[in-house]
Amino acid sequence: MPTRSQIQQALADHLVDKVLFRDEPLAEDEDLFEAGFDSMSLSRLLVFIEDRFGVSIPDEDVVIDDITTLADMTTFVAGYVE
Amino acid sequence: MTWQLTAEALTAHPGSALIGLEREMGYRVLAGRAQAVADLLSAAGVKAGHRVALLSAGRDHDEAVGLVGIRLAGGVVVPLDASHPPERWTRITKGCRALVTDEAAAAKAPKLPRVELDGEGFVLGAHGDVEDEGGSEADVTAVLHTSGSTGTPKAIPITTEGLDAFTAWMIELVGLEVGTRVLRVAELGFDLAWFDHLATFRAGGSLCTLPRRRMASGRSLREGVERLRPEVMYGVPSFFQKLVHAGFAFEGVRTLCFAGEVYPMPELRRLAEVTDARLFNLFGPTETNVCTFHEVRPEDLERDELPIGVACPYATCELEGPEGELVVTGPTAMGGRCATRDRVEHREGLFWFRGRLDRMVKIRGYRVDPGEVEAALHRQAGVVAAAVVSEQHPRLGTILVAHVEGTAESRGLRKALAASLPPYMVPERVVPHTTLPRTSTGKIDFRALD
Repeated sequence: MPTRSQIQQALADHLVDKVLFRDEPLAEDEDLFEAGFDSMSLSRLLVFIEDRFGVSIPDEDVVIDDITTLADMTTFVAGYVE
Repeated sequence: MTWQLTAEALTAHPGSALIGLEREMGYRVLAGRAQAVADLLSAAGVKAGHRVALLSAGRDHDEAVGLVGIRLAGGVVVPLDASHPPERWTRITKGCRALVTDEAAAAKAPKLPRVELDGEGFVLGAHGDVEDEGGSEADVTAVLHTSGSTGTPKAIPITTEGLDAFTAWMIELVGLEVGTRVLRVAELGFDLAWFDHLATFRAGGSLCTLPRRRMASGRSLREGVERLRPEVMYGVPSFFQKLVHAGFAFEGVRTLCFAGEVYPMPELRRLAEVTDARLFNLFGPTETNVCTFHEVRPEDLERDELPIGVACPYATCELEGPEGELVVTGPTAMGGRCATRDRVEHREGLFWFRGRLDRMVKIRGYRVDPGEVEAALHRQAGVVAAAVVSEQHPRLGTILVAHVEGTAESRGLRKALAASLPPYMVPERVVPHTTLPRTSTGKIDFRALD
């Protein structure tokens, strides 16, 4: 089972490279939405999480108000992976 | 006489023009704040028929105030989508004289004379004067930009006369009245959103607005919509699917209109099971606005395809040529007459959509010309040839896949595309090829890539 820091690293790498398409790294407490995260990004990220961690997360389980940062996203994914 | 947004028309309405989760704004206040924007634009040199860009990252009440303000100054609204890269804004705003923006987007916004608003539509500041060159467009309310085959966004003027015909008909169709609550759904770059704003403000209804971030996921969307209690919603099928999947009960909702893409029949049955609302399938490309419509009847749900219905009263719809291309004539059609490139069949007194005559596809309701994505790929170093095709993905729906010949690295290409294209136009995958398959005449063989 992946550790929390492995999950966070995988999410950060994917978000920076494949979803937000940016050069600078993503800080743990940066507001994802202000960094350009939108519904398309969410769908892309969920597809990645399912492929990478072998879990199934329906869109409707995600509450954007609860998941505003990389740290929140990590906690959320870790809850499924365990 | 053609209906126009005026301060008098707005102040004549009682009640709330805008209803958000935190606060409401009455018609009188909306008219006052919009007039303040209009006065600043006029003072900066904006004249009737000048294009003025509108950018709202937060999509709070500033968006409607800015829209009305530009119109009160006689300007033509050019909406910029906050999720698109700044490079695209710059291309779209080439003909714009000024910009109205919210605080959140201000730093990244194109350099134009500007009026900056806070979330409640109060002016935070204004600076710069219009450099007067170029012409003006009379009788145009907005210019929308969609995907173009040549590699640049295609500008589509939305005429005031066309919007007059469209909103008058829609108000009648859905029974919009003073106080009717209409959900603000699509982005302004999408013709659907002009129903939200203009039909609602014309009828004296209340536009119910959600912050953009709430629209991203099912549950926060559902909770937001539950709190706003809209009676009428007009969106793309995927928007309603998201609400259904999130368990929204559609309480108090009486009319749903959908457009932009084909509603998958199993999903439409699921929607009809959870709501008693009247359901309308509206059809038409941005160039004609809605030109045909069909109210979903119980017997339609038994079949495997939904018709696009009959012509709207303001539109003449004819099928031309051996392929049956839909040609629309009327006030909403660009230039008065528009060949849509849509293949349509007429059967049992109804129109049925049969596909496109070109390669255009719909990604989440947004139209995408794969040629525009190919053109963006061709601008990248190391790309010799590119072919973009669409595929079905179980989770994402229709997706784009780019096949690329050359030495460019796949990973870098998506990132490079994201710097110039909207997020939904960035292919999900880039497949490298030593050489792309070609036909005997040397053209790229798209069939071999499917």
